[in-house]
Amino acid sequence: MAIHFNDVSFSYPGSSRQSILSIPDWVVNDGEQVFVHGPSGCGKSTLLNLLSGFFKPSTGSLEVFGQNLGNMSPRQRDRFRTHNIGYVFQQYNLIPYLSAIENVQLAAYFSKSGIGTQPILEMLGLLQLPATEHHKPVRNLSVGQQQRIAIARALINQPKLILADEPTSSLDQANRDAFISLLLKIAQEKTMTVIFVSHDLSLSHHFATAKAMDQISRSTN
Amino acid sequence: MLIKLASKSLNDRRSSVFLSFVAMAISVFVLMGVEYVRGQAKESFSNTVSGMDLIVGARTGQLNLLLYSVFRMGTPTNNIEWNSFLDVANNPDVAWAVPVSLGDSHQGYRVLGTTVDYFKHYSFGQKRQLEFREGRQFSATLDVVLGSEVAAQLNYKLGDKLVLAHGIGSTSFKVHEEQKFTVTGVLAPTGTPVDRTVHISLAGMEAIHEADSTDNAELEPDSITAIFVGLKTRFATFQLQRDIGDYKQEPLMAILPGVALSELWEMMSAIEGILQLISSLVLFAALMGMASMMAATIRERRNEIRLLRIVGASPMFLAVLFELEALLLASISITGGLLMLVAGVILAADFLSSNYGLFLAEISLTSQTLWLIALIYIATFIIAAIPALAAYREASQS
Repeated sequence: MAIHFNDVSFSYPGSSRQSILSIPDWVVNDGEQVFVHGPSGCGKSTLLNLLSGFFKPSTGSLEVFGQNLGNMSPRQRDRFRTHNIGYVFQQYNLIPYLSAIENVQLAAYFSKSGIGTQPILEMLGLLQLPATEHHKPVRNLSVGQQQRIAIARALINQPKLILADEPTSSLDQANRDAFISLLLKIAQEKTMTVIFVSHDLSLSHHFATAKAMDQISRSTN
Repeated sequence: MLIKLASKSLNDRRSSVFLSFVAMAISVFVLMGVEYVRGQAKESFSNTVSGMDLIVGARTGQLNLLLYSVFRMGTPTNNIEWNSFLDVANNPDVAWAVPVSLGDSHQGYRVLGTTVDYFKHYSFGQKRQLEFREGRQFSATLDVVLGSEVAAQLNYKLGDKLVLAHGIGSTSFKVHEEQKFTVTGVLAPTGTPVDRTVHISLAGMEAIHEADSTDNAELEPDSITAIFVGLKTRFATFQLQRDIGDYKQEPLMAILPGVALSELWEMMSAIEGILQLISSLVLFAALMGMASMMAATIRERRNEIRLLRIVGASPMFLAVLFELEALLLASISITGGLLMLVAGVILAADFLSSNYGLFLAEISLTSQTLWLIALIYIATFIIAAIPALAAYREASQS
């Protein structure tokens, strides 16, 4: 299994308020593509921050690919994230002043995987980015192109888990569907697990599994 | 990758970075400039006399004697007898002795009465002797040899007639209209007070003061101001200095020019210290400006920091990135500041040499300069730790 939440709760350290998130039991299998929806403020971002190891569960155990994130030091969680997780944000997925190639190279650099230029070019080709756009600062590219480069950046290190945080909210309908299909197709080919978070329920038809946030978490606020 | 990221990031924010660059480049310019001028002034000072073992004059402070005999500054407290000169000159240890008589001025330039030995024995810099740019040394009583600056500023040529007055200021109450001197020689520039001196013979000096003078080289002075002395062997220096101090006929003193020069330089070191302090404060202010500029960008770079974190950068990487950006900025600023200094020296060299007889050497990367550059880098590193730490903290929280 890819992800296993067991009695996990989270509250910001030092805050006396009740926990933001409380997940009694939730399992995601290897290669599963899960759509998680809910209104903003329902804890979706917190869920992703827990999975990516930025936040540590306050109680309970969170295992990702068999490793208990709660027992890791910040440095270990950094390393775990670099090697196992590809992250696509709603916006600001790329360093605006770097080119497409440089942005993907940056991700490859941190994984210390020694990935050369060739796989990066292949990846950009797979995501249908014309070669003429490879060396321009990404801020000069269209939003659709930028989000596709973001996928390349997130996938270059062959992560086992892809976390997507409303990555399509800045795209129009046509681009949105193309983006999701592309992401899911590549993820499927490479058997990557996907957690896709959005408030937009209309996207759920792309996914085999769709969960509402309040099905996963019994958080009360 | 780190360097690429840092330089592209700086380039991306070049409009705000540019202001920091200007401030830092100016501060580097000031710091290096002060250091350079200090070195030049010191060199200029110590190059003023060379090969001279003793200066003999009336008893006074050694600085005072040095200032009025070599730098033509101030007024001699007392003169010394011509006989004393003869006694010093005839001492068996003395290789040469040149009498100098200071007092009058011509349009603000000091007039120095001396003998032709002056042109033979006075040396400066690395034992360089005086050279004539045109003409020759004086031979008649009313001949005059001009320092290079005097000739250039007052536009005198060989054969020109000039009037030498009594007193120091450019306008004297009592001008001896009748004494017309003829320019027979102009010296090559030396970068020493010699350039600002009007040289005449001792007889000429007497002629200015004595109403009934004629063109007569036999005139003998009663008194002179100081004696420049060269010894046959340096071992005799202290013995002779003591002997002159014990001279019975009149109170005399002998000073070692090198010792007096370093005492003079020591007096200047207070000013030097203040200049260095001010220029370091200017640098500090510029660095603080840079640090606050960088700290202010952390807020707008929050997304960038979060993105770098998500692709695997550790908080330490971000701290190092900020440090590196600061050090890169420092490198550009040091280059800019040095270029400003080089340009400044080239532009100012003409002005300084023609107006102040100060000769600027070309700027070279001395160990002193390299030390300063190292210090600037260290200061940058320390001060940039403030925004670097803020970036570290921001990165740990995202």
